[in-house]
Amino acid sequence: MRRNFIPDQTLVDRLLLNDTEAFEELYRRHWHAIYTYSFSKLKSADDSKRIVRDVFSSLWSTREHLPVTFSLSAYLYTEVRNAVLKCVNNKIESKAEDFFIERQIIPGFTPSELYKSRQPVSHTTIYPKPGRLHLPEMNIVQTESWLEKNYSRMHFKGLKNVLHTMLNF
Amino acid sequence: MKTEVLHKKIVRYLDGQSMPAEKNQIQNWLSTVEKSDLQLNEEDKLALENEILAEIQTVTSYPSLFPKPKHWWEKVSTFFE
Repeated sequence: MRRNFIPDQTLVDRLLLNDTEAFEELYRRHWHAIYTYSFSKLKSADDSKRIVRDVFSSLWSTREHLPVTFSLSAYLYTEVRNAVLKCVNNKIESKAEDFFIERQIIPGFTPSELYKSRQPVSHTTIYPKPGRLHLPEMNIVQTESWLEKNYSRMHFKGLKNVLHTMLNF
Repeated sequence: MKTEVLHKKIVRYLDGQSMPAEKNQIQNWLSTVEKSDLQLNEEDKLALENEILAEIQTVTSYPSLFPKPKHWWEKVSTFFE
């Protein structure tokens, strides 16, 4: 499990000093969230890879012009949403993937589907519901990989609650 | 909704000329995230991470412009070569 306790803002400040290690640390922290989001929208590994590449290339290119009040999470949020929309637009214009647009994208614009975005996000829809952890049956490597697979994006507080639930089940 | 209608809406949104209802519609679609069916094991994930990072390095060419400083043990090891 990759954990580094340097805050994002400190790493962003170090980008101004052309610190490539800070950039790579930021990339390793956030690439998977961007990739997963893009993949869930576009169902294309190539497009998702391209979006991750473009977002971080753009971050590196514009590092000297970042505002003082720069927020990395807000930047990534905006960039990935715009990139996904531009990708859908390109697919429509190229007319090469009409079937994908009609079957995957357009059904997402029905009122019932859009209504889901107004519902509160349930943790059980994102993370599997924790059950009893069979500690004697799992060695430490298996436990680590299981936690990494299911809960690597969860904050420390949430992870603490999950572990508490599992151990006191 | 037809593809042509969606195209016009997206173009207007990207140009910043969409009506509030259209803007809400597109933003709601972007905010709707279902549980991903993406299944990557640890090796694949690490390989993909490194593959994309290599692409970024190729695009920005930052490793050649700003090479990482050598650690002290690397300097010592070159001393004995």
